[in-house]
Amino acid sequence: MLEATGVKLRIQMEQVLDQMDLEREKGITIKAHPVRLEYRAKDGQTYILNLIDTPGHVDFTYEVSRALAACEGALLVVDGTQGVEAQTLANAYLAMDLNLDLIPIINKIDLPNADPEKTKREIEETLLLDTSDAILTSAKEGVGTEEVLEAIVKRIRPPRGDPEAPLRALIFDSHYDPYKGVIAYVRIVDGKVRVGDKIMMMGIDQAFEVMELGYFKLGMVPKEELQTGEVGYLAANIKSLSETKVGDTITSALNPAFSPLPGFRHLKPMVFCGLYPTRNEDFPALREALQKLSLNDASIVYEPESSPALGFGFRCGFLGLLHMEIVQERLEREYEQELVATAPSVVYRVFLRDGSSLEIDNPAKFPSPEHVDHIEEPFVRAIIMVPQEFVGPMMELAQNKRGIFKNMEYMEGGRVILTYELPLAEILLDFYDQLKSRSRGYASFDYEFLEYRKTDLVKLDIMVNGKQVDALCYILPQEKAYEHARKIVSRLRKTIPRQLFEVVIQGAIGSRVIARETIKPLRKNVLAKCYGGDVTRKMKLLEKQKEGKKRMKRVGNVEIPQEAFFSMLKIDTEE
Amino acid sequence: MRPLSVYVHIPFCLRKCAYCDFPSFTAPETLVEEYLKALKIEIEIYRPFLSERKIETVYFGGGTPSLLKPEKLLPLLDLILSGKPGDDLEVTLEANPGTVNLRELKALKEGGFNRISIGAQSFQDSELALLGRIHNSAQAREAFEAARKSGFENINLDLIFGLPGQSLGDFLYSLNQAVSLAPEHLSLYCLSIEKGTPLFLKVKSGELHSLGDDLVASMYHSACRILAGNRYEHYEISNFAQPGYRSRHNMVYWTYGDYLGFGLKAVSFHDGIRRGNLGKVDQYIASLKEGKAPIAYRTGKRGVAALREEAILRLRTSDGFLEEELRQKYPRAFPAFQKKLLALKESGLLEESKGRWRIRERYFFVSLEIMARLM
Repeated sequence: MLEATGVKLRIQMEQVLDQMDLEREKGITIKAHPVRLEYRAKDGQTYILNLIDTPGHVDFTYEVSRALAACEGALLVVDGTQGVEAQTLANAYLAMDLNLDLIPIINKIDLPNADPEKTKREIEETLLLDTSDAILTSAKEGVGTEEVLEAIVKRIRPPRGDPEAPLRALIFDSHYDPYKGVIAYVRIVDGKVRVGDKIMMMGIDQAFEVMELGYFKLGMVPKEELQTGEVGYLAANIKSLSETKVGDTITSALNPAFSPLPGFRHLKPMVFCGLYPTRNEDFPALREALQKLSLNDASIVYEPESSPALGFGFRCGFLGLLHMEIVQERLEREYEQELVATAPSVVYRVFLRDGSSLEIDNPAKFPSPEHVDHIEEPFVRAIIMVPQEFVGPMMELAQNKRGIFKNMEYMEGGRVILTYELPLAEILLDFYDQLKSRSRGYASFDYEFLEYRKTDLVKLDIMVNGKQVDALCYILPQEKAYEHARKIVSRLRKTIPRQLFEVVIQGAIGSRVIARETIKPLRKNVLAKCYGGDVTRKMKLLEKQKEGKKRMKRVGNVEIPQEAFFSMLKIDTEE
Repeated sequence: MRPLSVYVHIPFCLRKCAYCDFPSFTAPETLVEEYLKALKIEIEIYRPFLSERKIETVYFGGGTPSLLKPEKLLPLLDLILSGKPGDDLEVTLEANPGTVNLRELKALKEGGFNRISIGAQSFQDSELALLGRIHNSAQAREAFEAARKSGFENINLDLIFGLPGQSLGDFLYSLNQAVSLAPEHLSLYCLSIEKGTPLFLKVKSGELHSLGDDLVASMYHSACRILAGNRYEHYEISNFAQPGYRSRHNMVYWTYGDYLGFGLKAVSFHDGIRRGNLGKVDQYIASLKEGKAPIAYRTGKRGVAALREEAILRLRTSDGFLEEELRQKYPRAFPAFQKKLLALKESGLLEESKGRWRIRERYFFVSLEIMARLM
């Protein structure tokens, strides 16, 4: 579409809009990307179209919902070789909830295994959408592009909004620029805004002067004015990150609007983990990096915490596991942080004997068992879409993960939709990897929060040479405690490298030790020959060993590598 | 003036060993002649430097320097010493069994060599074959006895342990054979399988299996005990000597002393500058033909980097280092370094008594781990 409307692509890349290295590497979209197209339609008129490319994965629903709130319509692009996937459903429902005009598109029809007719039937069955005017495309070969553009012009409503009303602009995203300050991505809903205007953030009641306005091509293109219906960016020399909240409404300071726009439903993070700098003195740098990153990714929450084992760090909340992984990688790549992350945890509700209750997002903070009356953990409703021949392995997996079977639906063409209720904590383990490996990659999966339920949970403490390591404790279902404790402790033995002394690892519930492993001391790490010509090489070797130690966190005398903190995630992975 | 040591590299071998990644190769006689000519030019370039310092040790290493006849070696030695050998001079020749005979050894002894280092490596013929050595164990014994007979009173034997397939018993057999010859000095090298060597390829392909660290460590620690019982001093990670017979030349490397290296890829270090020679023999010769020093790189370390390097090198020896000496030499860098030392002392990995810092013998074999913490 970009090519058809004359956007010059100087560098031909597979995914033009996915600008992060991480996105290109993983072949996924993490951030929503806005871009403006000008299209001369068959009716002879030129239309301005604002396109926002959005992610598909369940963890980035927040990105999708914000982008959708800035739009009138949505193109539901379904891969003609894969058919409807679990996340297709989730995103389509989101668009329907916002009452957007939906245009079904079936892509990749150039591939030999594409089956557009089957895909159409699946869309009708699962989403109850009329697919008689679905458009068949091949983005790679430019097939159907013209039809899509015509359909956007004909079938999607033009922006409503009142050009004469006081300015109301919805901030749907932002990023930080070291020279211009905060760059807010806005959709002008009513009125207009010009460079030099005095504007106000309605959420915090603070005024700024507009320094720069513009719209998005592949980069940012400055413009004097943005009018009703336009999507663009706005810079107003805003230095403090807390002053531009995504979802806030910008209005004119001189002629303010009466009420702000609805904004967004704030999504609560479901997954928490501790992020610690490998060197304690890097704590302030990590704080700054988190501040900047959270401007670009409004769904992260973080607050400082301290751990006897790991020092000072942050407890961070994410929308899901992939989101957590992406944030860690972005912190390391874009903000050059060296991190140790603890195992992800859900938020538990702990009800105490004295009648009070706590929300616990860090297993280390669990009250001791004698004070606990009962515990509740979050459950999700999960949808697994899978070819029929993998139903058995999928059910076995869900069963292993404490899943409660709810429903099984057969779709035309031999695919099955399984519905389960699962503890979210089980999904944080290796659920997704197992799902993919047990279905040879064919299963797709999506989930939504259901409710908190009472379950039988215990806390497993891990002791390293007799010292409890708070960052290594885990919450386990009672019935699997022994089995899991043994697996976790055995995995720790394999991931913690041999040290210069013997290391004993114990797993305990309360004061009862239920698993124990010993790491024998390191016996050999030596450079046998070191004469005149070897010195330089030897020093290089030492530099390398020192680099290796950087990824380790010292707990007491013992050096623990990052992977150890994730031992629980791999307990069911075959050796 | 600080004393000076001299190293001369003779890169030629009859055949390259299966584990060797040193600059060495077989060469036609004409190339050897050209190389020796180049060596002499190189020595002449450094003549002013050589004559202003007192030379204390000279070491001919390789390769196989003993491939060269005394008529070739002795003029080189004379050139270095400018015909005025100092008293108390240590002159070592690396010699491989199968390349020396009594007559030649006598000539070398008379010509000024007074220490000989014999690359025995093992006293098991199957192991010698595995290593790709050109000699058998009988020849190693013969070489040793010939050296004794020629008047050498300071002889070293090299042994390698940790070979694929070797048992503790196999190694201790070779060690006992070596001890029974009563050399003044023993070097025990744990085999390191270097990338690209024939041995590496065999291990990679699964034909051979490298030994586990625990077994290799047991070999090392058993050897330490046996040699202590035979009155050998364990004075460096891989080196043992009867009292008064440490390798003075090698001690210079570990105490950050000054040395000049002549020959292919040889390294020199003096006045804080490390300098490496070209590693390709044709380039080395071509450079000297033009009268240019064949230098490939120069690096200088100062301050904390130099302090780290010196301390780490010294910690290879049982002498370790004296805190006061390094503090005076590196007054600005020392305080921060001392913090690391103290942390290691607290965890028992370094020993300090009366201002002298050491790695305990029982930690020698994991010394890289400790040294990495000083970086």
